[in-house]
Order: sequence, then structure tokens, then C-alpha cells
Amino acid sequence: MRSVLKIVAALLIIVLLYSLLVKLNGLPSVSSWFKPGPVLIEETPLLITEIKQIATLMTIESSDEVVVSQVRPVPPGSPKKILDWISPLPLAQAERLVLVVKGKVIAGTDLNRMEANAVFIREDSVSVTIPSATIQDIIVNPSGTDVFIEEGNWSQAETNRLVSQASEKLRQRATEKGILVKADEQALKVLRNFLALQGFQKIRVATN
Amino acid sequence: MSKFGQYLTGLLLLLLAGCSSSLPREEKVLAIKEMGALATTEYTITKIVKASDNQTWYKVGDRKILLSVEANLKAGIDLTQLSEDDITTSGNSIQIKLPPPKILSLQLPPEKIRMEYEEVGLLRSEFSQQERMDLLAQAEKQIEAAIPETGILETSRTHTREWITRFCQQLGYEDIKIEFTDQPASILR
Repeated sequence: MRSVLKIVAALLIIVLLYSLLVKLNGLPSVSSWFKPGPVLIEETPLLITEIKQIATLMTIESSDEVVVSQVRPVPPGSPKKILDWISPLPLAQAERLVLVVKGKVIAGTDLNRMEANAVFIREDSVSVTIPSATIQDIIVNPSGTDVFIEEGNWSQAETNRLVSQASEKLRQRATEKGILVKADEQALKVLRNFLALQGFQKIRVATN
Repeated sequence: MSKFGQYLTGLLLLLLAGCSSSLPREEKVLAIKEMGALATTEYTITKIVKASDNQTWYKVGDRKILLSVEANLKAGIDLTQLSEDDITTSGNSIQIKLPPPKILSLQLPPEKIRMEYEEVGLLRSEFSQQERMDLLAQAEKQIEAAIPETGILETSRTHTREWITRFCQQLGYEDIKIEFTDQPASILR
């Protein structure tokens, strides 16, 4: 009986020491023994394929979050289908993919589309006419995309299509919020300030 | 409960105390923001995302994946940073001090993400969409970190100078001097 107590006491001391070292970050915790190892990507070079000169006045940025989902029937031959044959109870015959996508919609004015006679000057007066604002970018990046529900194996192309749907949803919501009207107002404000700083007294800035 | 049972309970409690807790995720504010940036340069870049899953000791067999991504980068200047002190005019001469160019947007279009190759061991499952998304997020970070090496900010400096010069010429100026606050004395006529 004594020898059993000695073993248990020794074990207890070891466990206490181990717990103390874990708390002090000196040793990995027990839970981390069964944590899957991180999958890290290798450093690969970037290849520049195109350089473009643009002139876009970016005036409004709308951040938003949308949920998109897709449901499809379980493909024949999949383990779920086989389970359904042998199961006494009917199993769900659909697979779902639900994504929560955070994105940004940027609206602005393409100043390269300004017409040749868009600028008119007389003494200290200036008149500038710019094109109407349009949506310039819808940014949905992997860092802002959460996979909420994933049932079955979904191909990259299927996921890409779903993310594109999220982009379209972000565009619609931003348009409903009046992003283009706000972008026009902001573009006129920014240009008016730029011209005022140059000393023009009478400034007229308008959109086409 | 026997003494041995009490020791065992104590041991289990200690093991549980050693487990780490997860931290809550950072909350972000989603809103409409006004800006006034002049984007003058757009770069399109491609990258191969290469990963091997062979670091977990209790999983038998490896998994390898190759994805290709395209990224669009836009750079330019923030016109709202201009103040009265930055612009000097005299007759048909103008001198403008512009703020330094910066990255305005980084976009990985979903339709340009392609699965090039995947190899999965007999006892392993394919990469899930969550795992692929995590790999792509790592690629996004790598692209962000490599931006200074692409030279986009230098190109943007040239493009901005050219566009502002053309605009000032339209406004009737003939002698145009443009410099950047972080890099003075660059003159274009």
C-alpha cells in the first residue's frame, strides 16, 4: 500500500510541475499534443503581369457583411448516399455551403473619362465638369471570408461562384444606400477644395 | 471514494487547468467612409500558393496543394491631405507639394483563384474550403508584405506627377513644379 502511495505522490508532483511549466509557457499543454500541426504556405515570388496608369478619384468606401449559401443534392456514390441506403431512418439528401463575407465597395470618378472641353477658365473663375461616379472596386478577400457551414466536398470553382454572388450582393446593398450619389457629392467637394487651394475665386464643379 | 480515486480526480483537474482557452475575435466597425484619394497606378500580379500538410504526427499520409491567385493593387495619393501651404501659385506658375503615394486597395478577385493541383494521401481527406480559405488568407498577407518590392509606389509617383501636370496644364499653368513631401525637388515642366 505504501509503495502505491509513493508512486501516486511522485505522479502528483510530476503533474504539478508540468502544470506549472505549462502556465509559464515553458511546455506545451496537453490539448496541444493533439492539435493538428499548422499548414503554412511557402514563400513564392510575385509575378507582375500588368501595370496600368489610371486616374480614379476614389471618394466613398462602404464596408459591409453579407451571408451567401448554396444547397445541392448529395452526389451519387458519396458516403452519405451509401449511409442512406443502409440507415433505417432517412438522412438529409442535401449538402450546404454557407459563407459569411466581409467586403468593401469603393465608388469614385474615372477622371480619364473627362472630356477635352471639361475645363473652362476665365481670369479667377474656373468651371470643371467631371463624369458621374461609378462603382470602382468590390473587394472581397479570403481574409474576410468565413466558412460558416460546409457539408460535403465543394470545388474551388463552386466556392468562387458563391463569393462572386456575395460581391453582387454587396454592390446591390451599397447602391441601395446611395453610394453613387454620395460619391458624386464627395468628388465635387474634393475637386472644389483642390481648385480653391490654387487661388480660384469662383469655382463651378459639376458632374455630366 | 477510495484514495486512489481522489488522486485520479485531482490529476484530471490539474490536466484541465493546463488547457489553454481561446481568445475572443476582434470586432470591427462596418460603415460608409468618405475619402478623397487619387488612384494613379494599378498593378496586376499573380502568385502560386504552395502548401504541404505533413506536420501532424498522428495523421498518416500527406496532403499537398497548389493554388494560383491573381491580385489587383491600386496606389495613389490622398488629396484630402493637401493644405494651403502645399500649393503656391504666381501668374502662370504653380508649385505643388503632394503627400507620398500609398496603397489604396488590394483585391484578390474570386474568379481568378484556381486550384492547380491537389495530392491527398489514402487515409487523409481533401482540403476543406475553410482550410483553403486560410491558405489564401496567408497568401494575401504575403502579397501585402511584398508590396514595397514590387515598386508600385515609385511607379505611382511618376503616374501621379504626370496626371497632375496634365490637369494643371488644362487649368492654364505653364510652369509646373511638383514635389512629394517625403521626396522634394522633382521638377516636371
